[in-house]
Amino acid sequence: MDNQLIISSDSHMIEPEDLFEKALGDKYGDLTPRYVDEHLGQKGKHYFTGLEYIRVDEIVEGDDATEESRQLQQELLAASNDPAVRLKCIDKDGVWAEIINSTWMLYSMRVRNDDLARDCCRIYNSWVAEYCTHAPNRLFPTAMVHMENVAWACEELERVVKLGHKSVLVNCDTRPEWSYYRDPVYDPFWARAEEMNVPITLHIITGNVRDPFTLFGEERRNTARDGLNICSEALPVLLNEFIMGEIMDRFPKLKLVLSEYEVSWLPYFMFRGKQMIEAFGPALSLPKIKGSIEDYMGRVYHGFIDDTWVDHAIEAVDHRTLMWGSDFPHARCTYPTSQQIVHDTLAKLGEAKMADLSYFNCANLYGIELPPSRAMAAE
Amino acid sequence: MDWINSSDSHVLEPADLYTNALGDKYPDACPRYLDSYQGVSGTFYFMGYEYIRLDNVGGGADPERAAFREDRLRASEDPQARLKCLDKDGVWGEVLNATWTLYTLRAPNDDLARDCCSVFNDWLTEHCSAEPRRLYGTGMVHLADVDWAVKELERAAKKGVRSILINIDARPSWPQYHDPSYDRFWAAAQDHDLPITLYIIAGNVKDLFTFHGAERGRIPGETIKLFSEASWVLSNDFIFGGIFDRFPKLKVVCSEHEVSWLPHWLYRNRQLCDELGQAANVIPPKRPVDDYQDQIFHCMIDDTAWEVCIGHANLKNIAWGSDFPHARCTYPRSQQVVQDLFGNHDPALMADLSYYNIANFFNMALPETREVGAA
Repeated sequence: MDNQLIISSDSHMIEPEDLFEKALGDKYGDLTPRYVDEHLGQKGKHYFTGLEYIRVDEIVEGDDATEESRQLQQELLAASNDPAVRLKCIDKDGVWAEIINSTWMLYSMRVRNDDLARDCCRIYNSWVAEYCTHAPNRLFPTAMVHMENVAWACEELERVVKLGHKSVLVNCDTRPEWSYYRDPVYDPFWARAEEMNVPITLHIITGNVRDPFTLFGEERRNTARDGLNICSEALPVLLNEFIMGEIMDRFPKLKLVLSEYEVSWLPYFMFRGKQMIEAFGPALSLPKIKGSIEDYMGRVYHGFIDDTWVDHAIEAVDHRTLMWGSDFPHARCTYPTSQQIVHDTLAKLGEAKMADLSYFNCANLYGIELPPSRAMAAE
Repeated sequence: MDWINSSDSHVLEPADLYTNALGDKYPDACPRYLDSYQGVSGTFYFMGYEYIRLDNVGGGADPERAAFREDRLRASEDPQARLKCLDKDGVWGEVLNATWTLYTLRAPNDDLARDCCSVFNDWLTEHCSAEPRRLYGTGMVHLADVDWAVKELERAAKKGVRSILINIDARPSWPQYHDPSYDRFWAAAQDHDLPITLYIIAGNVKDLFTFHGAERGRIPGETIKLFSEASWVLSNDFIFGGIFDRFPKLKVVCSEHEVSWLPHWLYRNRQLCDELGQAANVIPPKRPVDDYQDQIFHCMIDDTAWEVCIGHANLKNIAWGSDFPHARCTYPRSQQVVQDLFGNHDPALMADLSYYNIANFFNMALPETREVGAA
């Protein structure tokens, strides 16, 4: 295997322990997202998101089982606090650049106090932008924007673009009490994202489905149901709001990124989308949209990690919309074997497509400046 | 022309089926036809809970489909008319599911749902008795009360139904299907060798045809969820919930969900057994996920992406169905649809998917030769 640099379209930051407590002080009292030492009588480091609790060792790769595994977890946590450690990790893994999404903030998009969610977004966006300035040609932050108040969302969008963010991550679905995304009330936000060429990211966890890692005790019996649900939550939003809700017609240059949903669902989605647009839609007198499912999906990009059947996806959509990601430093991340996993997952597609999916597609979407050579530096 | 078999066809319950049988027992809640709904004139069906506009289900404004609407309506009332349609379409045998009673499984009045199931099962078995070699009825059983459900399953089995269609998912107010309180029902189905059918509509997600007015804007998204509902239950209850482990001969039919979702679903299930599941402390099922595929049968109609299943799913457990006489049904061009879907593959595979698989699964009585008209 001849290792070449790769780019991760979906990596994460583990927010520092005191990020929100330090910035918010007593403003939200017990609601402030923070680390706690136990939950439901279970000892161990947990994170309180402002709504739910998560066991930290279930989210971050590594655990206390062996010394090696413990060290790995410490290294990954350190990488989120210190960009120099992170760069060492990605160098070791042969990763040239990363699109960096949040971790705990994904969950805090679900908190019921909208002011808290907005404040946390601002704090996170400022902090991660500062973090990424240590290697602005390799670390590309995705901002978090809570969509309850569109005027605020537009202001924050403007602010984060000035801070250097390459994309914005919104709630992957609207809350039941909000207007649906197709409602023109959101149009100023889509319009500004389109004008500034900022892709909109829909990432798992940020919607109405509860992440299985927030389930405890007997609730864990529903991990399969909730896991399947959370990994498909963006699909109805994509079809109902962005495509058939005409957002993509009104904003023909708007780009979407579906992150951590993987890609082998795409053949099925294309079939259902076509069926809805061409058969059910006319039968039910739904509004006629301008394009075909293929037209719209040309502007929808997909972050995948280790989907074993990427080959099916490239038969269904333009392969230039598919982008590998490491999920670093989460529990299922490919570090430190990303090179091997990319090879195992993508070699069957041929070298040119493997290069596109693991390197060039992401670089092209986000305008990432590439090094003169893709060859990995000798250790 | 060779005969094909439909793994998924329907009856349209007669207009007065429930009002005749139930009289005044449920005056306003009784499923029935209406002339208008929300001020809109037209033929509507009230299912005891929701309303459907009939011309939406019957093919809408599509002139080609409208031309055969009379054929399709007559076929549901009169088995002889149905057999004529089947002959014209080159379809030998059909597995017959309900139409309106699928929706009635969502009625909040459990007594009404149970009574409608019994009425339907009586009527359907009578309908199918006109040609038992070709018409295979699927009984309906509401699962709110497991004692009743076991009794109705046994009663319907004696009457000759070949499978039992249940609420596709337990209601939020019920225990989930993996709860041992349902085990007597799964045991009875296994003992009677009656497959359990999971059908769209009969669960907690609202069907696309029941949206009216402004809420129609939600149809595309809700329909994606509607077609996913069985996959959640299969994973959470039947596989990870241990039903298949406790009842290793139980079979489930997943009907009208199509099939191109299977590779992704299998990948996600394997993931729950591997690293991600371990990280989340998920208790894995007793066998590898792929082993359970032999207990699940899938019906497809016109899934143009079905080929992604090759190499991933058990192709002996997939069968084509016509959806006759519903709006998207393939009648009277089922032969062409089957040819378009499978024609560029090995003829033996095409024969399996369009004829033998469902025949083997339901132990259908086949004609001596597959050639239409040879007999």
